Amino acid sequence: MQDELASALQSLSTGTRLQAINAAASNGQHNDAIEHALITALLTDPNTNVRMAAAEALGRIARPDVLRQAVGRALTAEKSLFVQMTLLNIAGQLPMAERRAAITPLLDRVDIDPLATNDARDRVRDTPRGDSR
Amino acid sequence: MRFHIVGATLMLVAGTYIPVAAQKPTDFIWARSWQSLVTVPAPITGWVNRTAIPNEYLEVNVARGTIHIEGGASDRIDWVVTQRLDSIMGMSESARNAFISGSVGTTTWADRFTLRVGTPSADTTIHARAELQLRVPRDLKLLHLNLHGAGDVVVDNFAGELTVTADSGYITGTNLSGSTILEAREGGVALDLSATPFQAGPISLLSHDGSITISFPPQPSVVLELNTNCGNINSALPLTDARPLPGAGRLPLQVGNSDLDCALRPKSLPALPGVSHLHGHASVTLGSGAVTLRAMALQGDINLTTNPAPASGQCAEIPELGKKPDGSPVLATVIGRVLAADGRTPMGGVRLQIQGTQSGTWSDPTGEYRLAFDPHLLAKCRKLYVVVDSPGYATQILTLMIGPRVRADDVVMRKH
Repeated sequence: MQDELASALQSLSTGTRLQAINAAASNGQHNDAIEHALITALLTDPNTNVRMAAAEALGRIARPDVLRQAVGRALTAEKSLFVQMTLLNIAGQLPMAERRAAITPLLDRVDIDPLATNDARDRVRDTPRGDSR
Repeated sequence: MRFHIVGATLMLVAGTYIPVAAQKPTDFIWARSWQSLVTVPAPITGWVNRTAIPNEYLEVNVARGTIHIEGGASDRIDWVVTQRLDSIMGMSESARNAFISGSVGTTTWADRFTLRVGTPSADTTIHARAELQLRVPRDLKLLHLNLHGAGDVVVDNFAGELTVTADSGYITGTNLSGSTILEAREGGVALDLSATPFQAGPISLLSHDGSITISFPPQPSVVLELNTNCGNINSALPLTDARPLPGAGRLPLQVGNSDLDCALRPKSLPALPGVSHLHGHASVTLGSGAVTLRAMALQGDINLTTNPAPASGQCAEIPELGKKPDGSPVLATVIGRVLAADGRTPMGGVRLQIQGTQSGTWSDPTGEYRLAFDPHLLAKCRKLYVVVDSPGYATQILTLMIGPRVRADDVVMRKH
């Protein structure tokens, strides 16, 4: 499984990479190799749709400590607002202390859309908003 | 033979009265400039055989302009690039032509073939742009389009994998049957799945500021994964069995519209027969769920509509309206009216532009518009998409098709 995923993620085809990530997420298996492949896609894939799918897949199958590190690393450099918002959604499933650790890198950046900044601030508040976030 | 525009969302939204000052009279000044585009007489043409393209992977990079792509049976890729810009007062034609001479280049890499259309001028105030007409084999494996500046992308009749990134324009896709991965950063996405069933590959659609409009056949077989942030989901499809997307913090679709982070949006929506207004994040399986479609709109809406697929051979004949003395085709005209959010007040100065074409117009102070276009663009059951735009208001994408009426449905604008 992990070999197939790693191989598919090298494909020139965006659709193949997306399909492989979706399959990994729906399969439910998780191990170091799969998590590593998904994190690599999240951090390096040139297509926004693929990075977003990788983030969602990690949110479904990654262990909490891996998830926190992956979200934190991605929020340090990710430029797409789509992926940033997806990562913030995923960070919402972490305990507050780990969530703060993961989200803080985004709040330290100066190139962030206010939409993401406001969402990030809401998520690290002690008292969450009374909505779906 | 009649042409009419139908609202893609069948949606009316209560809103505030729009003062006359908000009707932007300066838009008309800009309109005159916009309508006086000049064209360099000699377009740049080229072609390449598909056998010369490594991995059947064609990458197209355009600095600024419109990309219009049509799939066909030929094994050749043909392109025509036309440079255009607004008239510049006091500049001679030769100086103007020299000024806008853009670059068109190709590169054969180890893994792909790249067609590159350079910017005519780095000065974005000049409104210079390229128009790329591209014919590709319908079943070419990989087609990746990158539009880096302002402009739209229109793709019709393509069965390979399509990946598009557009910085500030609209992406329109019709008759697509392969993996479709689209990202419109400041524009919207319109995808018509009603005529050609998807056979393989995922569909992933992203829109930052604009809306995502998808037309399905009446009984689609698809897994929808829908994400909205500020916008709403306006659906003519039944979304009653929505399930939460995996991941904490995501709830099933909520009835009504979202007002999260979007204080200017109306708080309630009038009920319309057959249209659900929802927001949130959810997964919905329709039919056997043969293909997964993911759509994420950050600021705009997701509109899900249904269109009956035309039966084979049932496309209406396009009338031959003849040609003008200069050889250009006589145009058909669709007429209609633009109203403010109250559904009554006429709204002038609203821009209507048919995507991927030079056809555009503005509504007059009484809200009326007349939009002329080449009717042959509607041949073979094709549809055209009309972007309706006014500063401060949500952009809408309407469908232009052959229909029984002379007048189009009223267009009702609403504030961001």
